[in-house]
Amino acid sequence: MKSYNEIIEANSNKILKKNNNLKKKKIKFLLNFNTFQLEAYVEYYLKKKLIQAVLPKSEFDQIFQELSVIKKKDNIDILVIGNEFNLIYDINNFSIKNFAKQIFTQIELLKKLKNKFPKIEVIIFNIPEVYYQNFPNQKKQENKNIINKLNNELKVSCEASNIYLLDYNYLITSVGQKNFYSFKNYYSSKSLLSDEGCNIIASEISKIVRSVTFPRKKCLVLDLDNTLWGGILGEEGPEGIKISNSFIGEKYLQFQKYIKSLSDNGVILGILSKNNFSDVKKCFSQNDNLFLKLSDFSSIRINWEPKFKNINEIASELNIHKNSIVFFDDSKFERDQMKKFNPEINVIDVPFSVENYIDSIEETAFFYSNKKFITEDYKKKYQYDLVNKAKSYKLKFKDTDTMDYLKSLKMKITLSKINEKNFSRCVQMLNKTNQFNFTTTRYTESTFANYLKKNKIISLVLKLEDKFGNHGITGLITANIQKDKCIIDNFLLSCRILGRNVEKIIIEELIRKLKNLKVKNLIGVYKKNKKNIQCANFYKNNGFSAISKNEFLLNLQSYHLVNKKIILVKYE
Amino acid sequence: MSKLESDLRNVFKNIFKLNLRKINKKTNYKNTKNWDSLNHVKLIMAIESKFKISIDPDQSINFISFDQILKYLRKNVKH
Repeated sequence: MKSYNEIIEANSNKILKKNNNLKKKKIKFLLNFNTFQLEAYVEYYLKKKLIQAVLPKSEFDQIFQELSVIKKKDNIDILVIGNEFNLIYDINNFSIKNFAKQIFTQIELLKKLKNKFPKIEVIIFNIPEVYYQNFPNQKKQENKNIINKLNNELKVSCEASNIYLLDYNYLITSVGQKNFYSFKNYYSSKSLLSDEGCNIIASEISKIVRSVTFPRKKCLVLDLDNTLWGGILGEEGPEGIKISNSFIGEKYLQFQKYIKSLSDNGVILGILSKNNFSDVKKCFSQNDNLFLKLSDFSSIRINWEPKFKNINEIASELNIHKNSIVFFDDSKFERDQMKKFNPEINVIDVPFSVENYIDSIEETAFFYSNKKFITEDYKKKYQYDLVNKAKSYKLKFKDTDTMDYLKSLKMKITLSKINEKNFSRCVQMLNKTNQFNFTTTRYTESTFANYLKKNKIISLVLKLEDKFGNHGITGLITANIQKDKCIIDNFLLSCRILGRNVEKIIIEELIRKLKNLKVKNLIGVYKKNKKNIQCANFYKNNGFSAISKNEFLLNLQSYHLVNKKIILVKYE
Repeated sequence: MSKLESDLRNVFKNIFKLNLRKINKKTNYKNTKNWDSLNHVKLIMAIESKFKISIDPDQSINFISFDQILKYLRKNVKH
């Protein structure tokens, strides 16, 4: 925990200030208590996450007034709204319901604001427990129930309007009301929170800000010895390692449970360890105390090769970009090597003591997201397992037998338009897909909805099944019809299903639809960047001819459809 | 210069964005541009956490110069 003075000192550090690599985010605070103290903490925590907070001045306790005067030229990226009723001056008007009514009105205003300025992300606090030191004559149990109910309603309302709900209530409980509030600060400056309170709120806010600033990380690669368990397997044997409900082992057990929870929330796991693979296999099968099973990991490299080399194999096996991998290893030597030879990998500075492992991941890795979770996220691990199965299956075929391989996969494609059900997943793919994404245009939910509404769009959303299972929604194409020509604005496939000719099928289906609509020309756009080089020749190889640096033209009138019937296509 | 004094100068530097050389015993709220009510509150909070003391709000109203604060700290901070 940092004291206020340490925060001020760190924030005025000139060396840090000059760091130009920081991403700037303009964050406006609208709270009903004074914001300067919390702002300083947020600035500090964001800088640690490579974000420079720009904090415009705001009056406290002017939430409604300030909301109504926000303009486009204010260029606000993030708006933080916080209502706190445990303020002494409200003691005579105590009514949780009236207080909640205010918040719901604010949410209505915020919805309108988001429609007007889709780029603004909004974070709002939920309702805290009553601090009975200030309100001694209240009925405790009754209030508790009311607050729970209201907070649930808030959750629903925020999810529907794409607003981040900060679990303020829980954060206070986690440090205790007495530690969280400082009424001394309130008397002298109307700033209400203690240093501890500021630390916990600012850290949480900074995580949300980071999750909207940088793309989410996909994979966590872990070491084994002294990371997932205590001690060294090679020396102490499967029963000798420390992992159990007793003393030192308990910490590791807790860490394993946390890792499992990450995996349940869509983070892919990998093992990267210098060990004998047979020993590790034996250990996982013999030691019942291990909470994680070997099957929880989607990619495993256990050998004596340098880790910075092995991790390349993990990246290519999972078919993900290296900068979406987070590396966690207790050995400083390994971490330094990784940083030196593989600078794209995110290396966590693992703390010395095990009990801080979880915090270090929460603080520095980018897994965090408290926005609504899409079904596809939960199925991540299942889907990567499918990919691995297909990969080992492919080894049975010779390189020349590609067609046989593809046929035997028994692929089934289901196509549909963009609808309410798949909308969120579409936006997610637009923002996450890098490798097979021709334009890499990023959208928020509201900008995408706007795009669909304002143009004459033809869209195909792709679901893929094969003999191994269901890959879910993994592809999207949206094209913009302008009289007799049509421009492909977005075309992407998840990297998990590349190399199966699916891309050809989806473009064929688009062409079929456009032909029916009597569109004459189809224009494909390719905007080159570091990651999507594999798209470069796609249009050329499929009958398009280049008309400019970024644009490729296909004359639909002279084009004849060829469907090789490897894949079964149906419409939903 | 005592450690107490140099620590306090650092707090002044960070809160009022002053050059260290320009902070001396004569620094007060009149000749310091950034010394407004909000920064005054920040100053008190920073001093409290730096020197691990609790300053009574009634007392902090009298903190109008570097010299006065230094005298108060000499009396109240355990060395």
